[in-house]
Amino acid sequence: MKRSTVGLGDVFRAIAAIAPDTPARWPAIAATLGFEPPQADPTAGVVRPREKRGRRDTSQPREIVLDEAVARQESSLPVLAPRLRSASDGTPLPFMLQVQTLPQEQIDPAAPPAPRLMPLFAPATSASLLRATVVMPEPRGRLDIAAIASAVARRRPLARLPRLPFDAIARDVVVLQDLGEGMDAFVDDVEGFIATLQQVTGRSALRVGGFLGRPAEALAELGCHRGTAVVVLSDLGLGRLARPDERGLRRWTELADATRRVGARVTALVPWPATRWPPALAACLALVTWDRTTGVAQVMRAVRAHG
Amino acid sequence: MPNPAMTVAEVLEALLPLKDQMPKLARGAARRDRAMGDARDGAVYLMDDGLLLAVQVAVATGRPLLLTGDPGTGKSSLAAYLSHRLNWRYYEHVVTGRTEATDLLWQFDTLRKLGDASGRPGLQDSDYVVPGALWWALDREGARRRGATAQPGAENAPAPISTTTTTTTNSAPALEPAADLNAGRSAQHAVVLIDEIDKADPDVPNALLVPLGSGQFVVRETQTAVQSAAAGRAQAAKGASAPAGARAAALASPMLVVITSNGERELPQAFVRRCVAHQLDAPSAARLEQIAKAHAALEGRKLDPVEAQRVKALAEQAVAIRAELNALGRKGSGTAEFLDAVRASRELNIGADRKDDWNRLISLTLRKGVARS
Repeated sequence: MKRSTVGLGDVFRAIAAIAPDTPARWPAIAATLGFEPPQADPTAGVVRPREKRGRRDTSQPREIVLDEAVARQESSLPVLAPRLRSASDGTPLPFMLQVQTLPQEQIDPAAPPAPRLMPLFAPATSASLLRATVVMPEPRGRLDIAAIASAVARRRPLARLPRLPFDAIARDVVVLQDLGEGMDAFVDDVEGFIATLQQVTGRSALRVGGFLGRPAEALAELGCHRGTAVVVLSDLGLGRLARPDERGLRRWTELADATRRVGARVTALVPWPATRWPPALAACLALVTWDRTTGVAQVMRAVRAHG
Repeated sequence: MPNPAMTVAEVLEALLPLKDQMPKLARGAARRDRAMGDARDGAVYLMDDGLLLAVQVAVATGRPLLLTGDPGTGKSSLAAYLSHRLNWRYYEHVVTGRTEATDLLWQFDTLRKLGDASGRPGLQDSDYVVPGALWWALDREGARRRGATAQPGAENAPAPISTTTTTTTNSAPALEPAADLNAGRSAQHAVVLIDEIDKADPDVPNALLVPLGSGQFVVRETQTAVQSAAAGRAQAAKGASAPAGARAAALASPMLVVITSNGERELPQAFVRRCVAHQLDAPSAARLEQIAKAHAALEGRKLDPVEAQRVKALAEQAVAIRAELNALGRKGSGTAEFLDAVRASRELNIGADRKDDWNRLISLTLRKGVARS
């Protein structure tokens, strides 16, 4: 029998038992049981719109460069998207384009800031979903009596005591954050994801890295070992192209191979529906739709299908 | 019965004088060894108004007390202090990443059973049951018998408060944790410290909801039903006379569970909502000075003016360094580190006049080698 959560009954019981000198102590007793004192501010509890973010100065033309080789290769793809590279690194550019930018928006300082977008995972279930993403089966559960009995009956020596698998949060979690432009729209979600995941795993168990196009290289820099849960936050390039090209697919399979080799597991959270996932990637990575409709069971299925 | 079960009102009355209570100057055998490090003997603790109220509310509602706060704020030492002052038994379990919820209730020594299978026939499953901290607190006699009922005529037959039910046995009794400490303490009540629960997998707190809420659980391997003494008393009170029934209903819970968390990881809301939660703030410089005085009193002495001056300087340094480290996103040193600094300063006779040694002492004990920003 589970005891119910703290309620008003507990407050009354505590006040009756402690019998404070003055009713002024009642709010302190209620606060100890998790009840907040009444707010004087009538607007308290109303969700306030978030503050404005800093905006890039769009009044100045931006120097961009068209990477000819990439553009040529990508010209065969259904969507033609010339790859733009910032010229800020000082490398010589094949040619320059002057981009005519739109006039700067007139921002009324008194206007209320834009409302915050709904997060991709519902806050109420976010922690459970993240936990499901980073649990790893560990051979430290109860003794597998059936396996032991079987070995003893067959007179086989037990080199190692067989134990039942035990799902526990991985002691080493690596988050690889896709820094590509396709993920720009999900910056808040990525920040929220990492903050929540830190609460689930603990600070010491979590490492975060970013990558641009080459997730396997980023993982190699961070390092991973047996039992590491690798979580990739990426659009898999689907935000920019209808389908990732062969080279893009190869980079993901490299990541899957690298983790499989060491006994780690990689799960990718993709803010695009499963209908858009390249079948080749769905076969080698545990892919999870990063969306409000996603449930814990879906995450568990995807994760277990890939060990 | 030497010490009958206490009512809630009696426990609350016993708690009242503990607010900001400084220990008396210890004399003779009551003196504590001055070389003691991180003392967990429960001999001294300065409880402020907010913490005392939290303890009172936990006792009044019969719910676990969840203490959060930075390391060194006195979360873990409170349980030992309360058990010492209330004269209740004391059990603790330090949680790690490998802890399972059943570890706090019982463990089953499967390996020993396997080893005994061929060489020692006749032993029962209950012989391999090792009671955990919560079982000892809920039902001491039942835990001692590992859940088995005593055979008629056996030496450990009297079991006045045990409500555990299972088969009979002649096996060796289980060893009680901290048996020496608990020997003269209340058979009816206990304080249980579940330390650093945030280290555990999130399933652990959730799995503890039932045993903590109902005071009962079943040992899987032996199907032993363990029930708290309070549950047994409540059943007995139903058929008792009106005054006896009223007293039984007013009895305090057999155990006060103190759970600590360093906030390393968020606890499940379902668990937090069933606890009385209190955040312990880091002590101020004035509070640290009081703590140093209290520990000196326990060692049977008062601070002389020179030492008082050093304690004041070290307390101010401790608070300043904590603020500095917090600004860097690091945890500052706690009360234990401050007390180390005070002890080292006294034993080595290092004061602010020996500037280099003083700075080294502060670096070693309070700053822990972190360079000044």
